Amino acid sequence: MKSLKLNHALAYAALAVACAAQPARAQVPQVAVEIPDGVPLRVAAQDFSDSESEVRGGAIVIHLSGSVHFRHDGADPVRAIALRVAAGEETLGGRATVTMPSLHAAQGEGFEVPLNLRLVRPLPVGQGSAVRIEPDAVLFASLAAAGPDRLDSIRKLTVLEMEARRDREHFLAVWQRGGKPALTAAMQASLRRQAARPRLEVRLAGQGPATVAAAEPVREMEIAVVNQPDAPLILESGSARVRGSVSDAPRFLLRSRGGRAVRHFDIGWLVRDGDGSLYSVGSAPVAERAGAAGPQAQETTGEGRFLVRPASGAGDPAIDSMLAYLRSAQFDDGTVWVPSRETLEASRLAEAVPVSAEERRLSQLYRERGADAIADELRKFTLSGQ
Amino acid sequence: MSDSRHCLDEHTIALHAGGDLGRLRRWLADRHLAGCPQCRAAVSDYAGVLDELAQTGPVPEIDFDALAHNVRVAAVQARPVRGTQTGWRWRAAAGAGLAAVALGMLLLIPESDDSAADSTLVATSIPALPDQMGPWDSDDVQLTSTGSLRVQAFHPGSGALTITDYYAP
Repeated sequence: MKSLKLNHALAYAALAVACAAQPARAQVPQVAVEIPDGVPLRVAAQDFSDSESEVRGGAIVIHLSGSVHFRHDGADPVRAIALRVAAGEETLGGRATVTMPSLHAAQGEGFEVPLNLRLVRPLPVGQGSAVRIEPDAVLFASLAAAGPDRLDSIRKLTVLEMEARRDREHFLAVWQRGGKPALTAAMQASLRRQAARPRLEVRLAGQGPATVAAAEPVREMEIAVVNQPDAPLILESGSARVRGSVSDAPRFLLRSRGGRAVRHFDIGWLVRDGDGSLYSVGSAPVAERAGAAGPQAQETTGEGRFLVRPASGAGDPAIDSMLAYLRSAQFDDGTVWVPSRETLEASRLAEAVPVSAEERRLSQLYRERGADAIADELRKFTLSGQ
Repeated sequence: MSDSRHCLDEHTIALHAGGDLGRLRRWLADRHLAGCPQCRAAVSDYAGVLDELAQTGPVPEIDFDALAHNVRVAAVQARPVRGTQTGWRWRAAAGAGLAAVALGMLLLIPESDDSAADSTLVATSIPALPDQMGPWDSDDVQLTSTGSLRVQAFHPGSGALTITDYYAP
């Protein structure tokens, strides 16, 4: 009897796996775009006719492909938007945000946000649209923002915009100093730097012992710190536990430089391997640390555990040294500080730190359309006062 | 002839297929698998799905440790009460759900225009705060400890750049 039940159960499992392997016929999912109160946008058009959804096992996989065309009704030009996309709130992979920085939409003008992503929604499906899209935050040229901000989007958009302004100013100065040849050289240098930047495969280290050789000794390693003269926080020291290529339990000592309270800050983290190559391995954001404005040093800890491997797969590097720097800070009034390009380049951090989203966009635009298109783009933002 | 009293549960099968079992548990599982064609088939099915999914994403480096971690978390959440008459059925259903979750997580990676150039997965810390992640890393696909992913895509037609973040619940 028990064996019969077991056979039944195995049959269910086999059927389920077969269902997962052989998806049902694709259908176009229903998509609803909603505008929250206080957001001065209208949906001018939306097209998701290329989207598909298919049943796989106990879930629906939705491939959302299309765009939403918004029209801006407010007086303050739109600079960036973060859309919250949700298929199933409680499902792994059920929600996402699509962020579009460096927008330039004045009152009465429109802009289009392309979406190309996949979401998972559990079965059974209830009534209503399969996917709901709504702006989580909209950032304007004055750095004011609107939206429910459920995903901390306003801070993220502000950091993006500050980095974008910094980099546009830099390339604009290059253009004004040396014209098209100088801008071309700067764009090519940026593309070369992006291609040459050492890449690491950094992954969350599992809890099991399989990823780390048991014989590797654990050592407490000092993290070297790079301080920028205009940064609102001073990194006094840092340390982390290191075992082979795994770093763990980072700790930092920070002190405020000025009198402004800092609400959130983000520490960039770089690793130097035995060959002297410097890699960016991510960042340690720290939120809601009130009191960071005080002159006395305060300690903060990061979480997580990194396993560092070169992306090329050429051996397993031991962590030789680590380096930390302040990557961004948000003050209590919502304004954001980011390091200047001059500081990054003077400290040689620019060799390892990833370029900003705006520099990436501009360099890709240069590759597609040439230096004149970049000059037009920079001029567009300059004429509107950023 | 297999011994049904010691058949591997779906949790173990998922972790085995993801390579996330500890040495002792793997040895015990392998010992059982040597004499149990049903469990071998189940492991093979899981591994097959994972292999298939690894080929569907544009990012060549798939972090199976993190995937197994996600599966393990989902397995713990979906685990039925032991000792019930319908336990195996629930486990089978949970297993199917886990397969779908694993499938879903890998299918989430879209075919972005820059995926060929950016094959690096970068992990950030802060497992409890998926919404409090730091500023965008410029040009990498990121995998966070909560299973969240971040992908950048440049759109040549419009000259726009979009950043897509997938969040764990």
